[in-house]
Order: sequence, then structure tokens, then C-alpha cells
Amino acid sequence: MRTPDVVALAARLVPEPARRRCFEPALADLLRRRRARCRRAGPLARTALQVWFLASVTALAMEARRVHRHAISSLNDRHSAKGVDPMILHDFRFAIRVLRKSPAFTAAALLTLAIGIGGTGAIFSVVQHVLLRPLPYPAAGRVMDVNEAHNGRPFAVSAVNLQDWRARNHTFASLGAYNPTTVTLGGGTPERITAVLADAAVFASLDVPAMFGRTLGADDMRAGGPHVAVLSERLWRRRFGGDPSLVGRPIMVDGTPCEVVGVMPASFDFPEGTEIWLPLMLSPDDLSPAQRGAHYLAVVGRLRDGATQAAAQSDLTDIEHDLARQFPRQVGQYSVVVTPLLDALVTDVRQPLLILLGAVLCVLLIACVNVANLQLARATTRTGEIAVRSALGAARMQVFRQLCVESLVLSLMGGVAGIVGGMWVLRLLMSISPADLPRAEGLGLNPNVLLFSLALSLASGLVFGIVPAAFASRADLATFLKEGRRGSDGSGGRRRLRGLMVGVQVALAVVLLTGAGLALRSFDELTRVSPGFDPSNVLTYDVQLPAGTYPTFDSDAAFFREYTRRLQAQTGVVGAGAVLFPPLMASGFGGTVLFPNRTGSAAEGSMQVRSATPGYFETMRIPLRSGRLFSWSDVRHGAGVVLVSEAAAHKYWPGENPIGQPLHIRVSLGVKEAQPREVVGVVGDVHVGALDDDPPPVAYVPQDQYASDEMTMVVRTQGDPMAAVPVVRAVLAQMDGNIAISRVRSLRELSARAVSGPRFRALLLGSFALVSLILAAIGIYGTLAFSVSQRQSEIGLRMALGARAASILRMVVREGLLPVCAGLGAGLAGAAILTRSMRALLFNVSPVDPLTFAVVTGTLVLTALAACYVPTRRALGIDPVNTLRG
Amino acid sequence: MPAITHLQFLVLGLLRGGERPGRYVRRALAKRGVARSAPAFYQMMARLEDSRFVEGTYDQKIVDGQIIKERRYTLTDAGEAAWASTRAFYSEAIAEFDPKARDAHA
Repeated sequence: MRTPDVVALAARLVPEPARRRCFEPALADLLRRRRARCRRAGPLARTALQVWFLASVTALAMEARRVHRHAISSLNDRHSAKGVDPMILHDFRFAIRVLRKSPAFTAAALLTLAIGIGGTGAIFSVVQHVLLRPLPYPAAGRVMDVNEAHNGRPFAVSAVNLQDWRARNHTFASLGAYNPTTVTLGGGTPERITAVLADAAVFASLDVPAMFGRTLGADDMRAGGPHVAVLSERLWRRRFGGDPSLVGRPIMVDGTPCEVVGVMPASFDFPEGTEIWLPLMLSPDDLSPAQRGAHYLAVVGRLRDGATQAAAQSDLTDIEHDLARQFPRQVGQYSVVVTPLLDALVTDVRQPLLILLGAVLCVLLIACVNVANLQLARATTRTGEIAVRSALGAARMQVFRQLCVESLVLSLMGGVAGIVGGMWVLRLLMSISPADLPRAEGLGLNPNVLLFSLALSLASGLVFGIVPAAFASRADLATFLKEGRRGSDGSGGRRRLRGLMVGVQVALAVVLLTGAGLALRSFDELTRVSPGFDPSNVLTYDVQLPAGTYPTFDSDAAFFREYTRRLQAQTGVVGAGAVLFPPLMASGFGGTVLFPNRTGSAAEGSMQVRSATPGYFETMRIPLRSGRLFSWSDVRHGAGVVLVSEAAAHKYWPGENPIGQPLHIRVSLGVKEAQPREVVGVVGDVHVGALDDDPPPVAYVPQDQYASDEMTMVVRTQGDPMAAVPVVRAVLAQMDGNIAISRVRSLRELSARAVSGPRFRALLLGSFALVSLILAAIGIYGTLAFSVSQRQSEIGLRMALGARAASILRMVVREGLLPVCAGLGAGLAGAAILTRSMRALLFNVSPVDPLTFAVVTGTLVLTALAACYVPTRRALGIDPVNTLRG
Repeated sequence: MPAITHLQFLVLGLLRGGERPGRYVRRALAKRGVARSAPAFYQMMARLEDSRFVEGTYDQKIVDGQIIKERRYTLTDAGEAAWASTRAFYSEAIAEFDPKARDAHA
């Protein structure tokens, strides 16, 4: 054996740091000694010297190993007191070196992990911020939202019933009533701002003191008392420059001077987006027994010490039952629902967000399985290295630990990349999320989310690094040397494990694809629903008249009549009108209606009541089914007329012509009506809330016969509706320079908002499903490509022995598709179970929609076949001659 | 107390004469009865290098077709200072505990 070979072999026995530190200098001395002896030696002595040299080099290597081990154990002893294991540090350094040496593998694994961890971190940010973040009130768990449910749906509370609850309950320390509205803030450029009419108990229930001044008190609620207001910190800074001396000074609200008595802290944002709180003044008329059926208040309460939600629910239910016995017509159809305020705020988004979190966790799981699969394949190619290390004395535990550390380093790097990616995804999420996503202000990555992402990285690294590490650390030199360079795709166990991982990926991808498919189908169905009007080229905005300048119904009616007429006369305006409660805004006023020429239960019904000007239906292109629309001759003191929607006509006049029929709206928009109105026309149905809800029966009264100080204007233009904004402002300013317009948007935008939630869900689930499909395809491709490359010799041999291309094709494709089919079956079964949780979010689509399941199956099979294509081509292209030579 | 062991004191003292190859230092130690295997010796020298007391360089040559890297060592300033402070420590100790030696020294 040549000297360099002997030396190289011996050097391999010595671990790297010891080789450099003590083996190489000692070897240099040995070589010098040998040379010195060789000069004096004859041929026989030279042979003996060579033997001596071989023995000495081996002894040197063994001694260097011993010294190294001794040094390490001394270091361990020294560092153990500090809690640092130098071998772990060594493992970390080694892991980084190994990963740097395989840039393709490292990049693929990092990208996969970053997608999984980043996506999960971003969605968890939203879940944590919206669902889990506690409310900023003392003992927030005791703050309850209270509703009177009607037909199982939460409904506003009657002021009269609330009065009884307050007097008779034993579980609430306070029950506050409030009513969101908008007001015009004067004193400069008029501005429409979000306001809340609240009583003193609202502030007592939330238990947050003012930052400056005081909150609203019981004395402020007295009718005829001084007008006072409490400002939000946001409004105080934005509009008044954060002037602390503002407290005690008047500001103009709806044309009336109001004394600012306090400024709330920035953390107080109840209800969300409120800029000013004004006293809720209820007159004796409002609290008279006749008003028991008028539901228009929102209620928030704080439980007494020791009281629970269940006790409060039972307490108020008992009172409501008593009231129902006393006033069956007004209270009989209502029940009380007591919900923790946090749950009430997020009730609409809880399920969609949890579904999205589940979906993104699926993506993370697929990503981790993919990386584990990559690691397992890579471990197979490192069998030689691991076997040599084991042969040189590395304990299996050391090899296992090293591989685990590699996995951990990889996942930590993936975690860091994921956090960076997560921040980007979060920004993207916020830009496409529905505008009405509650509690979204200030949403961003926070320490909780960073910790979550870090924990996720560590967990994924450990859980999905252990299995490949356990398999890889079993490598032994004898097997490796026996198999040599012929290659093997690993033991049967490893093959099965890789197949299992592909199956798991496919199963998870099927669940995600099915969920996304259902969401997309539902979204598609929803976009096919006609809102009942033509939203193109229509501008909408709100106008509210200051009560000080326009104190009566007549003045309100005159203003909107004149404003509408002037708008209709503008160049480029196709039509204009005004309505109280526009479509798709889920706002409205429900009223009891009577049919004077009927008896018994048929004599009473319920309809939504809206007020509209002439020109509204034409502008919105709401079709007239029969009769006539409103005209300017339908004046306040003329004959009472009403239009009804098709749904109302079908429900209350089935098979009859409603035109000419009397309809008595008992309380029209809060005003008690003495006389029945005559139905003069039937108009098409319009969706008043969500598109997936059936249009309710609606009664329209002429704006002149019921004037409101706040109306939503609709203006149809020839071109871009937003270009008409300066025109409508100018017309308004000509009439009254102190009136502001608010909520300016196109009707198209309003319609888009109606489907923004389903679109958001479909988009996100679709993205997750696409990522999962790509990852699954990579998994299938990677496994099969690796298997083919490792079995080249076997395939070549088979071909040399006469195997036909078809049989090779069958062999490879079967290997690729078997785990896919198993995963597909398991995934479809899982999807059939899991998609049931989406039932409430689907519109016109069954959770087990056969079309969706069929498309998902087809997509998966096609993707799997595509992923098999390249490895199969490679297998068929193997040249048996080359293989046998090699 | 000295920052270095008596063996390190000996090695640093040997290197005060200038740059030396490792085999020279090892042989000098052996003459003083310090028997160390070559790897153990070079491990000790590596630790002295880690402590910045000596500086090691490779002198690369080809011997019998084999590249050999002989290690040569130089005393650093820190090594000189460590050796001097250890020497002072022992001198003071001798002066304190052995009056005869103190008188002889004087």
C-alpha cells in the first residue's frame, strides 16, 4: 500500500478537529523519523520500516482519537456547569455546513417550510387579534351583549322591555342601552362622523373612565337638559389637535352646540369605530306600554360579582316569559339571548376564521411531510457517510442527534423565513379582507404570534425530523459496502414510509381542495344572484340634515324633494332619487302591518318599511310589476299610498291583485299611523341584507309622506359615477353649505361588499388548496424521481433481460399512483366529514357536492399523472448497455 | 496563582529562545522526563494556541511523496507575559518560604 493511501485512510479515522490539531503535526514528525531511518536502512530494513510505519500511523490515529475524546469530555465537564453542551454546538455548526453544501435541497425545504409557517403565522395573527385578544375592559369576561331574538335571530331590544329587565333582574350590575347613528360635526368643514346615542349604564357596564373629564351620567339623559358629548381619543386628536382644554367647551353637532364633557382613552372603541358618544334620551312616550313592540336598542351589561352567563340567561328568560304572558302580542315571539360581548362581536367571523386556520394548518402539515420526505430521500443518499461515521465509532445516538439538529436548524431557518413571509402575507390578507372584519384595527405580527411561529418551527423540525433521522441513523457500513454504488431506494420500511407520506399529503390536499372547491362553487352561486337592481353607474351617499336647521318633517321633505329635483336636472345625470335604508346594507325598520278588510290571524303581518322619493325606483332600475310608481303628487297631506315588493304581494295577497288594497302600517318608521294606505304598485324584490338571504316583504312609503332627516341618495350617471361626486357636492352646497355627505361609494362597490366575505374565503381557501396541490405534486414527483434514480440499475437489468417498456411503465406508475390512490380515498372520506362544518357558509351548494368531489378527484389524478411523467420518461430512457457497463 | 500549569510554563520557557518546531519542544520535554504521545503533545500545544500564548504555523514540505505539515511555534506577547508573571509568582514563593534561597538570590 502506498504511503499516501495509508495516511489518507488513517486520517479518516480521526474526527475533523482532532485531525488538524494533533494528528497532522504528529504525522509530520513520524514521517520525518521514517525518512531519517530510511536513509540508513538496507532493502530488508526498509520493508520492516514500512510495517513499523503502518503500525505507527494506525497507532497515531487511534491515539489522536483518544486524545480528542478526552478533550471533548473535559470540555463537557467544564461546560456542563454553564448548561452548554459543546457537542450540540458542534452539531449546529456541522448542520449549517451540511445544509450549505446542499443548496438545492436547503432552498426547496426552506421555501416549503416558509410557506407553511408563514401562512399559518399570518392566519394565526388574524385569529389571535380578532378572536382571542381580550377586550380592553376590566373583568371583560363579565361584560355581556343582550339581545331579544326573533325567529332564532338576534334582534334589537325594546326600550320598554329593557326597563322591566333593569327593575327585576338579579344578575346584572348594570344594563346599558345604545343606538349607533351618524351626526354632522360642524365648526369648520362639516363632517359626517360615526356616533352612538348611549345611556350612562353603557359606560358603567364597560367600566372605563374618561381620559379627560367624565363619561355620560344619568343627569345627561334628561330631556331638555344641556346637550353634552364625549369624544373618542381619535376624534379629539384628529379634529381638535389633542387640545386638553377642549373639555368644557362647546362643539357643533348636527347644528346644535354640545358641551364636551370628556374624552375617552384610545383603547375605548365601543361600538367599534365610534367617534362621539351622545346621551340617549328616551321620552315618556318612548317608554309607554304602546311602544313595547318597538325594537331599536342595542344592550350591553355587566354581570354582578359571582353571576354567570348561564344564570343571567336564565334570569332574563324568566322575566321575558313573564312579559310574554302579560303582553303575548308584543313579546310572545321574542326570547332573550345573553352572550359574552367578545363572542357577540366576532360571532360572524369565528367559524370562517377557524376554518381558514384549519386549512392553513393542513398546508403546514403538508409542507412538513414534504420536508420529511425530502430528508428521508436525502438520508438515503447519505447512507455511505453515516455508515462510515458509525464504523468510526459514532454512536447511533450521536448520528440521530446530528440529523435531528440538522432538521431543527432547517426548521428554525424556515421559521425565520416564514415570519418574514408571514408579515407580507398578513399585509396581503388585510388588503383583501372584508371591510367589515371586526376588531381588525392594529392587526400585525405581535410577540404571541412570533412565539407561536417559533414554537411551530421547533415542533415541525422535531416531529418531522425524528422519523427520517431514526431511519438514517440505522445505516451500517456492511450493508453500504455490499450495495456499493449500485444504489438502492432504501429499505422496504423507508419505501413504505415515503409512500405513506405521499398518501398523507394527497389526503390533506384532497380535503383542502374540496373545501376550496365548495367555497368557490358557493361564491359562484352567490355572484349569480341578482340583487334586484342594476348597480352599474350608480353613485350612492348619505345626507343628514342638521336638526337645528331642519326641525320638522315638512322641512326635511322639502329639502330632499328640492335636492332630488336639482340632481335630476344636472347634465350627465340619468336619474336621481333618495331612499331611507338602501339595499344590501342589512339595515331597515321592521313594522307590524294590518289588513283592514280581513279578520283573525290573516289581518296582521310584518314587513320592512322604507321611504323613497319619486325617481328612486327608476334610478335603481327596480322593475315595476304592476300599478304605478311614486310621483311628486304623492304629497304629505294627500292620499296615503304604498308600494309593496313582490315577496310581500306573494305572501299577503297570494292569487290576488294587491293594487287598490288597503294596508295599515301601524308604526311606520317609528311614527304611529292612524289611517291605512292604499297599495298603488308592486315592485321587484331587492336584497336588503346578504345576497344569500331571501328578499323579505317590503313596503315603500313616499318620502313626502314620511320624511326623514337622513336619506341615502342614489344618482345614475352616464359615465363613471365617482366622477359625479363634485357635482352632487356643488348642488348640495348651493342649497346649504353646512351639510356634509358621507359614505360616498358606487353601487357596484356596495354590491361587491355584499360578497366580500365569501370572496375572501374562496380566495384564501383556493390559494391554500393550490399550494397544497403543488406541494403534493412535488412530493409525488420527488418520491418517484428519487426511486427511479436509485433503481436505475434494476430497471436497466430488467430491460436487458427483456422487460418491455410497457411493463417498466406499469411498474413505475404503479409505484407512484398507489399512495396517491390510498391518499385520495382517505382524503375524500375525510372531506365528506370535515366539509359539513362549512354548511353554514355555503350557498346553494351541498357540503358533499358530487361535482366538486368529482373535479377534485380528477384534478388530483391528473396532477399525480403529471408528476409521474418525468420520472417515468427517465425510467424508459435508461440504456441497459450503459447500466450494465456502469 | 499562576494562570498556566507547570508543564505549560516549561513549554513557554522553551519557546523564549525563538521559533521552534513541535518535535523540538517535545524532545526537550522528554529530556526533562515529560513523556507525552505525539497527539497528546500537539493537543496541549493546540490549547496553548487557543489561549493565544503561542502562535503556530505550518511548514509544509513533501517528504517521500507525502505532503507533511510540520507545526512550528512562536511565543506571543501574551505567552511572554504569562510566563513572566508565573516566574515572579514562583520567585516570591521561594523568597517567602526559603530564606536561604532568598539570601542567595540577594
